[in-house]
Amino acid sequence: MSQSSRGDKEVKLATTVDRVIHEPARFNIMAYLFVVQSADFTFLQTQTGLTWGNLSSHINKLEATGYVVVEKEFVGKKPHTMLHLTDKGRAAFSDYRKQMRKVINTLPNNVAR
Amino acid sequence: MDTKYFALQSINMLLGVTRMENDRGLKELEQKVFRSYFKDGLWDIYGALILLGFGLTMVTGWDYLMLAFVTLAVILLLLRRRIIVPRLGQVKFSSERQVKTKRSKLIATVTLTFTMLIGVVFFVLFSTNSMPRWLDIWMGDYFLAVFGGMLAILIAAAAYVVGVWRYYVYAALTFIAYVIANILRSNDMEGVPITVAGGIVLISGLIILTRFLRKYPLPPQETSSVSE
Repeated sequence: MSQSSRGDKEVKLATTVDRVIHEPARFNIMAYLFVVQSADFTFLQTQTGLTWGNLSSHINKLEATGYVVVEKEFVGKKPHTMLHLTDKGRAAFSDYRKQMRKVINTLPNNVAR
Repeated sequence: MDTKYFALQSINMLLGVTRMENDRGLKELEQKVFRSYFKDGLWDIYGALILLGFGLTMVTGWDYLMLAFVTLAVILLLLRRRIIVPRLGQVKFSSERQVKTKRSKLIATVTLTFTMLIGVVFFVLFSTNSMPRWLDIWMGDYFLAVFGGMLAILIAAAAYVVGVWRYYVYAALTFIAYVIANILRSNDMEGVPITVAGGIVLISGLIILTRFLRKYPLPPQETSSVSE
């Protein structure tokens, strides 16, 4: 295979990854939610290091895509938000990991200098 | 977005998150999350107070000191949830982790029961004067070392359950302190090494607690809407 067609294949593979997950902050949120059953906002904020507003906007995006479910409840008089991945979200995250693995495997061992 | 730029961004991101791209990475992440609930140092302080209780009671001869230290330690543990959850947040672990935790708790309970059973057997044999003579002499000579060994096993079991390496260090420290205490018995100084060990663990716990409180200040109150 010529070098240019191989490069094109890498680019093509990379562009087929899920762009919603393909953002470092959202990837982090998805990864944390993937390894637990559910977590609250404070937990995700302390683990990811994102600001409250930033985290909110990314959660909104993930919720709109149907990857995350946001459950609001009241503990006493205080609002409390728990989040968990949907089945669709879990499947999407697994697919994303597979896809990225493929991208890595297609990369050449030696990089031209 | 330009496809070549997107590909470059992909590769860039991959370099950052490549550890999570395999199952081992995700497992490590889950363990990191689990261990984060033991980063506050309160269990360290709890253990230190128990050791200080034993040590200072031996040094001073005031039996109520032990009771005071144990009460203080229990109060501290009851407050733990109020200190940690508001700062770290709440998380429900996966069913796999819950099974693992149950198994670990079972191991810890069996170890604790076994250790306590040995203690009760010795206590009954001793108080009813029915201890075999050889064991009576041996226990008379090595009682503190044996007791320290039992405490060390309990601490090591706790270390295994929560997967925190420094608890193994505490287990070793406790055992060494009790062995030294056993050696110093003839000079009536057996409480000193145990108090010193308790002091070391207390300082370590206080440093960890201070770091934890600095690293995780109380977050602002949650608002009623995610998007707010």
